[in-house]
Amino acid sequence: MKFGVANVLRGALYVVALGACFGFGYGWKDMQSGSRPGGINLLQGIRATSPSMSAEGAFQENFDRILTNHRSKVDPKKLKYAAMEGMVAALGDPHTNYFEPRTAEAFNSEIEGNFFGIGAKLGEDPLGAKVATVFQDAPAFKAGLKEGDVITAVDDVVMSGKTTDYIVSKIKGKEGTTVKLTVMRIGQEKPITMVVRRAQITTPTVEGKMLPDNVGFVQVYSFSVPTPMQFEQAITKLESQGMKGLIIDMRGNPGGRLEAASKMLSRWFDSKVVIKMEMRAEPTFTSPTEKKPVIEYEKTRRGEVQDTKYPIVVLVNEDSASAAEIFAGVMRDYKRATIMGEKTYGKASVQTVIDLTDGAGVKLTIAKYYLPNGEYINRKVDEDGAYISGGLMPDIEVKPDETKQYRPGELDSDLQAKKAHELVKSRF
Amino acid sequence: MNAGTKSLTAALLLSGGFVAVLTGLKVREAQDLRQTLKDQHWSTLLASRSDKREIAESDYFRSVTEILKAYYVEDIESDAKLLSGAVRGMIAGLRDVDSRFFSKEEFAAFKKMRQGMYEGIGVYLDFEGGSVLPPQSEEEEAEAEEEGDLAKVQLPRLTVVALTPNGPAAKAGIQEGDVINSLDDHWVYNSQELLKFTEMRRQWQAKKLTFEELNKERLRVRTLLDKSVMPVRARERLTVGASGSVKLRIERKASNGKPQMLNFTVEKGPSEMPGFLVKGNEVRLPLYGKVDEALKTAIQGKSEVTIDLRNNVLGDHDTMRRCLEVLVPPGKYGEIVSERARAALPLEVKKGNASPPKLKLIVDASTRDAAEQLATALSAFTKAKVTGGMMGRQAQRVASGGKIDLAVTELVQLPDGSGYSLAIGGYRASNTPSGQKAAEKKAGSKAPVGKTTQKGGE
Repeated sequence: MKFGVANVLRGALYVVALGACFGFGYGWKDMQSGSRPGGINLLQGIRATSPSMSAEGAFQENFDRILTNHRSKVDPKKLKYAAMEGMVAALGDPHTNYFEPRTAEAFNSEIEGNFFGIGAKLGEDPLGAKVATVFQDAPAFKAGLKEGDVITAVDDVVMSGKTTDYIVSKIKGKEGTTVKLTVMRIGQEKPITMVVRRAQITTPTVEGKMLPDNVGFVQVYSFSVPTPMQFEQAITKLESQGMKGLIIDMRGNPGGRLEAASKMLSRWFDSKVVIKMEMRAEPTFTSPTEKKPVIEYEKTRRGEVQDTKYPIVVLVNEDSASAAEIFAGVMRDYKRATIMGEKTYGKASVQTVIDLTDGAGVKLTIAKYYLPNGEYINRKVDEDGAYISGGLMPDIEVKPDETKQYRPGELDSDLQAKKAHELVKSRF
Repeated sequence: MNAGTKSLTAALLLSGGFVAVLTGLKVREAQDLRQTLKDQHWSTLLASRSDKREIAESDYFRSVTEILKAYYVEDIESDAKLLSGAVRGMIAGLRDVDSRFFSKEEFAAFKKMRQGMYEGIGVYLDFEGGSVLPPQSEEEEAEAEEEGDLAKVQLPRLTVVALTPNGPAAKAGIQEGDVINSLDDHWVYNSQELLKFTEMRRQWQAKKLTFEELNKERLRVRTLLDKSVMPVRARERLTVGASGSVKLRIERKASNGKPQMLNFTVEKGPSEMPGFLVKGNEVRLPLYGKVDEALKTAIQGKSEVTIDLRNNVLGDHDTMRRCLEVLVPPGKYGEIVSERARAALPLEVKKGNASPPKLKLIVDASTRDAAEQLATALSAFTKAKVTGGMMGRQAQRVASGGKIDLAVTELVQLPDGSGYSLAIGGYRASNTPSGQKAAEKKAGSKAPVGKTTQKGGE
């Protein structure tokens, strides 16, 4: 007989081995999933994303859930962009934004100056956009556009309820082309239409004139390279005409170059702090995780002071931002001027744009700055973009009279200038 | 044994082992699949298979978070904040009134509200009176303008739809149907006011309005905008927290149909919605927890039962299904439709109650969500008698000609405690052939939907 005990044992061994093989196959999934992060638990009808999951894993899980479970069809790209916008908005910083690829393109070309305008600055208005400033000799000026006009339609498309940025983007276009504006003007029953040719705008940044009673009025529209020189010239001219007091109008000034502001302030302050800037240091090899803030000071220049001690009022409003707020804040902190008007916009930070591989971009705040007295005036908003805090409060609040058409510096229509004029006169 | 036989045996054993491993894998897979089908929540049948996409969104998410962490001026301590921000953005991007994002505090309060425990001023608020959401992107707006329908758009307003009977709001005199106009002197943003301008401007251009009138209105809205609060934030402030007081300005329709403005100051505090209660033949049936078991006991041996579904706003859909099992014989009781699903999914009662009692329902405007689904199903498929007023979304559904469904939502909690509700389908009180065959049939991409039969509370 071939069947010995040994053979039986051997047969049994084979069966066990085969069983083990089966068991290995059966249990393979458990070995695989042993390292996987936890899934979804059904707790009282609530699905929970496991806290032990990585943020990107949790994001993917919720992204997939919304994409596959929502009752309507969802475009995965739109959903992704909406997610990024929401994520960046969670920082509560109005100047840190995510741009989806198409918007990023438009943003870049605007910075590079491929778009041309009509030479006017616009502010918010429920009916469209209110004209804040019209530049001398610009196309808009020649076409008859005036400060205080409200643009209600662009190329016959109604603009009520639109954001100012949107309206500006509709007005801008290729050089030489035209745009049709429909304008509402105080005192005019009929809407006015005008056709304006777009052109490269060279903006005068400073304009000065003498008001009654030898009060000088200097408007600063923005802070660019020629601004300090133009400012200097305007003031020198007014002083030579016997100026006894000065109103500096920063209303509607969106800011610009910080160096310009500090050069202008050097007229009054000798190597004084303009702002303290706090940046985030790049991680280094020696401390890859610890990032101490880098502090820098911007100061006025040495030996440029030529202060004739006449009274000064700086006018600001909610459209005064960045360098304009710094200028007003420094004048206030060193007690050289009274600030009048409305609470300013509140921009005390520096941004940079980082491009993503898909053409999208992230504009983000990389530094913030403080006024000489230590005040941080940066605007804070909630996730919906609604204002929470920020801005420079004027020493004396004066709201404009919006029932009248006004031209800056015209005392019978510009209520804020009128109040400033009265204050300056009282301090002669 | 010679060498040939030996190597043959070895080969056989080896392949035998291999086959055993494969068999093991297969058996496991089949078993798992059976288990999955058994365990699967009904809602997964609605979901579409995920499309394959080129780059995983998680990688994209990671690259943006890394940029923020490396360069943003302040330290970003936790990813959880960025994650919930991203989810908030996605939910907002859906522009769907029935899909909502909740902050941590709001979600905690919301979970308690589902069980009848209220904070804030003791109200349930919803966006009411609107037909559609306003256009939100530029293209959509341009489209709407070309079609000239922007002024016709009816925008939903933040409205009190239910109150806890002895809660702070009820005590102060606030009523169902009140629209929140302002909160703590902040105007609750309502783009209807802006749309009104388009219309006034037209009238001005047509010389039916003087400039002064138009400018006065312009300045009025500007003042409102300067001090405003977004409706979702206002809702959070009214439903979260149990201390402090709020100042409310309320729009209420007077008996002559004209809106009147009323001012209230309300102290926040805890309050409760009425819970499950049996009184004779009457059952008050909030739809959460294990009320189906209690309901079963309550109706035992009764030939007639009245179910009170008033003040029933945040019921759970699954609980509603279990209650349906107690109340009706087996069968199909409508269907859940979704643009994503291949076909409508029938709402099926499997075991059911073979000898159900005669039902009477009491409903009104505070009968919402799962409660409204229950009442709609019972009135459409049984001889249940419905008394009371119109239910929460009833007028809207009737006006839309059956286009608006009762949203079925799922709730998701995120690691930082915030959360969201996601509308995954809409309930319809109809049994279409496509719904019946949904399980086996793989029809076209769009669910063919039959005529909706709507019977309602009268």
